[in-house]
Amino acid sequence: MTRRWQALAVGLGLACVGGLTVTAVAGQTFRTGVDAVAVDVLVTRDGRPVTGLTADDFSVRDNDVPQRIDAVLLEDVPITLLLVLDTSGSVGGAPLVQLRAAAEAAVEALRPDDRVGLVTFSDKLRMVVEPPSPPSRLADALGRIRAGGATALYDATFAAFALREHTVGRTLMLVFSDGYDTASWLDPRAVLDTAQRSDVVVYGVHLDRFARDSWWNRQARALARRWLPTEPHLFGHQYLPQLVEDTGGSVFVAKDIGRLRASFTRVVSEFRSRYLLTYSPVGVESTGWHELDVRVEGRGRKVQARRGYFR
Amino acid sequence: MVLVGAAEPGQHRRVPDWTFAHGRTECLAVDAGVTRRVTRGEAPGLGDDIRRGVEVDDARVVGKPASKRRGRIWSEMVNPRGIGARVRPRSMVEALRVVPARCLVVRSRLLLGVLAALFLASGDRPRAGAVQTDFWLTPALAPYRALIDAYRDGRTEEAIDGVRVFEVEDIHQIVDTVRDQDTRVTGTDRDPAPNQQLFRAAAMLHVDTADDLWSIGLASAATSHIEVAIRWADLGARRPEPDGSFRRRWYLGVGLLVFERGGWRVALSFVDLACEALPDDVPLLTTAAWLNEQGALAPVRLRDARVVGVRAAQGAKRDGLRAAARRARAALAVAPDATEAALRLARVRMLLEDVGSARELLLGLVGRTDLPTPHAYLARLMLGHLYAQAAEPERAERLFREASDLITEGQAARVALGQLLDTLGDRRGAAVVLEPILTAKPGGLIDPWVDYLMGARNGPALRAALRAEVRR
Repeated sequence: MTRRWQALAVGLGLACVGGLTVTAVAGQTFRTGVDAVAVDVLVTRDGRPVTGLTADDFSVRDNDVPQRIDAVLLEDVPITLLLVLDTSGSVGGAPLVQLRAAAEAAVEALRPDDRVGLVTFSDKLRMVVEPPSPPSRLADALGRIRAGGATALYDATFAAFALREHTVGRTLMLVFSDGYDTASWLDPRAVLDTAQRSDVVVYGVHLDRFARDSWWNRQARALARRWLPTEPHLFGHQYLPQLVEDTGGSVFVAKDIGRLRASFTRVVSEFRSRYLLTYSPVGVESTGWHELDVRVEGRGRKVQARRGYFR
Repeated sequence: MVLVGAAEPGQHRRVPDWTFAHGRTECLAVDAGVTRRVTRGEAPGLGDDIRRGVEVDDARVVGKPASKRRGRIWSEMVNPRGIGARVRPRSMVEALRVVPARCLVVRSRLLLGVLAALFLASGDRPRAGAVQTDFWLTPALAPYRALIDAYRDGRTEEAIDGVRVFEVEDIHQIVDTVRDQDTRVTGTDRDPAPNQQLFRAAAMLHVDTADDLWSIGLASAATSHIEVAIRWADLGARRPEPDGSFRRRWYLGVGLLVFERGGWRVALSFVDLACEALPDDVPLLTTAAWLNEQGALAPVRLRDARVVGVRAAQGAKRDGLRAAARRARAALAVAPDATEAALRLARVRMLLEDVGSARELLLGLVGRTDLPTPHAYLARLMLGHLYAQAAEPERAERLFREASDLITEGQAARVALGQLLDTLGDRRGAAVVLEPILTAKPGGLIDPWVDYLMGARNGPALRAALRAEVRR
């Protein structure tokens, strides 16, 4: 691990760091310090990531209080890819073959100094590859996974958040599922609460053969998501989109299993295009929930970032 | 009131016993030019006939839901919105024609009295069962009988292919005829009378036919065969029905098949009927509680972005949970030591936010030392969850750790404990608690919580045993 990577790792995770560190990354100035907050941000225009932005292009409000920020584009920084793959009975057969191929494609998009972890879930959770492991370990492990059983999506994502303790630096959690939860002990709200206290960015890939992207469907989904906290059982299928939104990631819906490979590769490349904004909060409470509002200058640019954080 | 199959004027239509499912008791039918209100239990004898199906000229529904009722009775039955539609006469003239129905009831009672007197007067009547088997051997039934024989000989595919050639309505008529001849059951479960054995074989043949049809996507045809199978199975009914009888096991096994093939809603319709037929069957009532609970909690997809859709879904969920509670309570009334029913009742009460009574029920279960380990595990998990919700983390942690000690591979207990620790800020502790389940070898124990949710009742094995019983 390089010194630069170590310094960055310290700065991530909403960490409290004693003293002050100044590090140059990708030509930008990256500053961490006491109570530093790091926010992973994706900027897109027409669905494509925008690169080359500086701190001056961003504005961050923490609980509605403007903050002074530093920005860094993290394309050269190693990542830990934590794959959380649904291997329930419905994934058996051809879909499992495609899923293995997609996971391999995601690993091929990694760099040698990136790290991986693999958790599979049906009604049982399995840590097939313990993070952080070199990408080369994943190929062998993928051949060993088998499909069968029900779907414990909430429990699996919670376990993956717990594995953040094992990882270093920026962690990308890629969750694949082809259905909704049928076997978890946990309530989805509990896992969403855990996500708000973590710095992991979640990307979701959902297989839905009947997905239709009409205006009415979008409205219905938005309504269902609003009701998820009140009716977690009835609207549990909105869990993954909500988790992704809360952590600032993206969700890709693959209408057929053949498109999984492209979706997985896109997740890795998009994650590399993200910025890390850091600031030392001023004028806000030191504990509790902090609502974040991240904006970027320039017309047509869209920002994706976590909704807030707990301290 | 309920919907009854629509028919063109002048066309005969059966009022099937499905009509009186879900506690609905009336329908409006036109019979011999007279509109009458067909009421289950309205009159002794008449009600009994209606249970089997009465031929009427026309049967229709007036009112808003009428447009929805063009499908089969079964399909209406599985759609909760299609059930319970109100039936009203179309006009005052029609309403007045209902009046003669009362007279019909009186006439039927008189007729029944005369028939009963004639029956008692005849001293040399044939033994029950003998009539049935005589009937069974009549040449008219030879084609159907050959299929039953093939099935009993283990030539299942041949029998299923043969049955599929029959019109289901024709088989209903066969059942009607059998019923007319003799429905009395004289054998025991271990040593069934010949007629009983034939009823059972026919019931299983139609169940396997339905299974076969489901497997190729013909759900409607499959449910038709289940309807026939129920009639065959009910011909072997005994009062009181002995514990563990073929019919009790049959209803459970077929209920699970309907769930496996048709999903929650179809299975719910089936078990509602089954519970009506066997209201004191604890495994059936517990299964009904499970199906109602899971059906109530099944995710819904909104058709549009109106809050009214959310409200409707919430209402349906509450209704389902209440139905689950009713079934679980009924099971506990029959068998107070039925711990699965107690657990289900506790969880349903938690979901209905009746926390106090749920806690009381669970405290009683946790205090018992005679519970099966999976049930002791689940009781601790559920009570721990209640404590965690009530901001009593120490008690919750103790119960989660107890559950984890009971079943060390138990995933739900470790996840619950890990989440509690994470909430308390002990992330490292959460990771340590989860490690054993994440690194466990493939295979191994299925968590009792998964069994609880998935209702692991081994339907295939149950049906295989039933099949073996009807073979020669």
